[in-house]
Amino acid sequence: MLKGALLGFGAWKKGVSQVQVKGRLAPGPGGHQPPRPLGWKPRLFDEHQARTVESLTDRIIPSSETPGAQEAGVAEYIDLILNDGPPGPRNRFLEGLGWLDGLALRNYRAPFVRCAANEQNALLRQIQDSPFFRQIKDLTVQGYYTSKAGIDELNRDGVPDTYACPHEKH
Amino acid sequence: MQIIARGNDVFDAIVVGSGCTGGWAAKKLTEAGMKVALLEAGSKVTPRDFTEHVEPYQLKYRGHSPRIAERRPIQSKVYACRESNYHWFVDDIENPYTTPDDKPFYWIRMRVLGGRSLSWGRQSYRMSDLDFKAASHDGYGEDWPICYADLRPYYEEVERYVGISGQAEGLPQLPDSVFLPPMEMTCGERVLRDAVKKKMGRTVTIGRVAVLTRPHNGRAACHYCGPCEQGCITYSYFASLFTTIKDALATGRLTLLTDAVVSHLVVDKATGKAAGVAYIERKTRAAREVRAKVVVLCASTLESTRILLNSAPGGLANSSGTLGHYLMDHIYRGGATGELAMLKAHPWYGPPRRPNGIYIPRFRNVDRAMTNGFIRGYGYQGWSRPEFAFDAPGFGAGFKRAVREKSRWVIGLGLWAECLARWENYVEIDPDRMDAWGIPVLRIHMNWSDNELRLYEDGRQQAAEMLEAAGAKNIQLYGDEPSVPGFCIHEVGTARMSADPKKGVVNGFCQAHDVKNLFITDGACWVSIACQNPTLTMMAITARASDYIIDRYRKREL
Repeated sequence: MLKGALLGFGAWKKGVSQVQVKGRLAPGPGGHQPPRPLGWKPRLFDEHQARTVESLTDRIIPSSETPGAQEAGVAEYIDLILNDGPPGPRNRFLEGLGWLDGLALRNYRAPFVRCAANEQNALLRQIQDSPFFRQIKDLTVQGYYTSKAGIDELNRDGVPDTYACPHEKH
Repeated sequence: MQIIARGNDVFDAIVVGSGCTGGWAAKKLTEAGMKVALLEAGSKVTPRDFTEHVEPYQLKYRGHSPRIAERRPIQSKVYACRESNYHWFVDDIENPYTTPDDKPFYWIRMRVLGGRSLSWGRQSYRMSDLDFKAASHDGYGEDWPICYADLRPYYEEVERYVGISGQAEGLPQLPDSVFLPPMEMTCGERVLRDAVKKKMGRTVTIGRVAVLTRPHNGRAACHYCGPCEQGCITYSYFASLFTTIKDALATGRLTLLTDAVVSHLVVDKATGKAAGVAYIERKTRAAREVRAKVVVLCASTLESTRILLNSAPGGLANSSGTLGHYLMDHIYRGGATGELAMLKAHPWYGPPRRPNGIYIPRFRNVDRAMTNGFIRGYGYQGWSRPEFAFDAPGFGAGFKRAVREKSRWVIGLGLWAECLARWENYVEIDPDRMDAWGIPVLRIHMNWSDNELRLYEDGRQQAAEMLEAAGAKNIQLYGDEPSVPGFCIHEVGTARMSADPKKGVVNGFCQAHDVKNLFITDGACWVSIACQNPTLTMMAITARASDYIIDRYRKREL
């Protein structure tokens, strides 16, 4: 039913019909090598959606000296939260994924997950004021900074408060 | 016709409710030699049920469970109702209540051994005669039939046992408790304290809190792990189940009946006295009775009043007609926030987390009756700490860095204002609704008066002025809409004290004017709400009523 909701989304269908022949849809830029295994079993997303969310979350919080959102398993968390949560946010999110792929296909003739890094960043800049961006960013922040990796990232240069003020004045 | 199983035992006393007040009644009465049955509508818990040391990533939904709201649309609004403890809070579907459409009320309830003491805010402040004699001060409403001097020895008794950490300030409107050492203020809080004292003459003090800062009465000092509302394996905050109830059980004279949902009191028709209570076993739905010579209601303000309203047509012990009326709660969720740019922020996720904030005692209408068209006053709870910039814009490596590097010292003050006792704020039995145990439910009518709204607005403005005095930048008022009544979880009133049987349900010892072996010692007996957090005073009132019960029971006067 939820996958059906995605296929029924106008932007996605339009995008597919325009570019599916000459675009990068089928084999992908990596040629013929088999795709990297997902490593987790989505409850809500299909495989394409799951990989798209992994890419999206990792664009929002990439790896640096510490792991990024993909390594921290944020996509799996978002899949769980949306699957077990109320239908409104769930459907808005799935529609948003389709909408984003539609934009990607229009701009770069490839779905988001197959766009190059600079193309993905350009797409995210383009949608930064959209409700969908706000939703995926909020979920990514929530998922990342409640993970072990995210907490370690927060505390990289933090100082535990001893509640004993070191300043002479006050 | 239901067949009611009646126990053969006749107890000296029944205590209904195992929270802060029920725990005190059970402890005092059993230690005085009385045989007591303590009824609790919820289940037993043990320290194995405590989850304060669980990290977010150890929880399925990392603390954001969408399941909580499914059956707890009201309870889930409270910060303390968490993924790991929400089963302590009532199931709103099983435990309905009604309100008029234009008067929402949030009724937050916990049914578990220990009641709301398991997840309470622990802030503990004495009241003064400015509160007990508020009507004499400004002409509105009724004085309490008791005064500060009556309660003072009981505050001391409770504080010595509970352990309240705090700083003595010598303020007449907020008498000092018997304190354990105070917790420390953060740098930002010291900046505020010093500036507000110097520029405005107002006192900022560390929160007075029922959390141990050194070992006390066999309980360990707090180790600052943070989320007290999820339990405490070191027993460092005060909750009845590992203190007062433990003591009562140790006497061998306490019978603990959990999962016992009290529906009404049983009244002896010949004498008019309370003969016991009728309850439904929560899991089996069996109807049962337990008998005693004295009944003490500590079921929480609105549950105690609901039991009385369900015990006789028009309500038991209601010759005054005041039962159900004069419901109060604190108006809050408003104040101001700012940033202290002079301090360098290096925030840290995780412990140590001081389970306390700062407090600004009431300064309005302490020496006069009215200010800017309002009477009474408000206090503030506040905080200042470095915070991560989770709200940083954008995405990518820049965003990830900004979460840490754009962190700042944040400071905030939120007001808690007094609510006037008004006849129009009342509860009654809804004739059309019952809970899952077949017990008629409350219909609650409450809204804020102009006086509360004026206090609230003044409190927000004064919060901003104090932050400005502290040199804060980017000061923002918050709380354009005040809290929905009930949401402060400080609901009191509806079976108030009065020396005059025509004006209240109970006397100054919480004894029902109409039923002399019936006592209501929880928040229901309150005459006015003051602006302080109420639990410490509820415990002191219960301790005092308990001494009275013990004395009169020995003299066979109940």
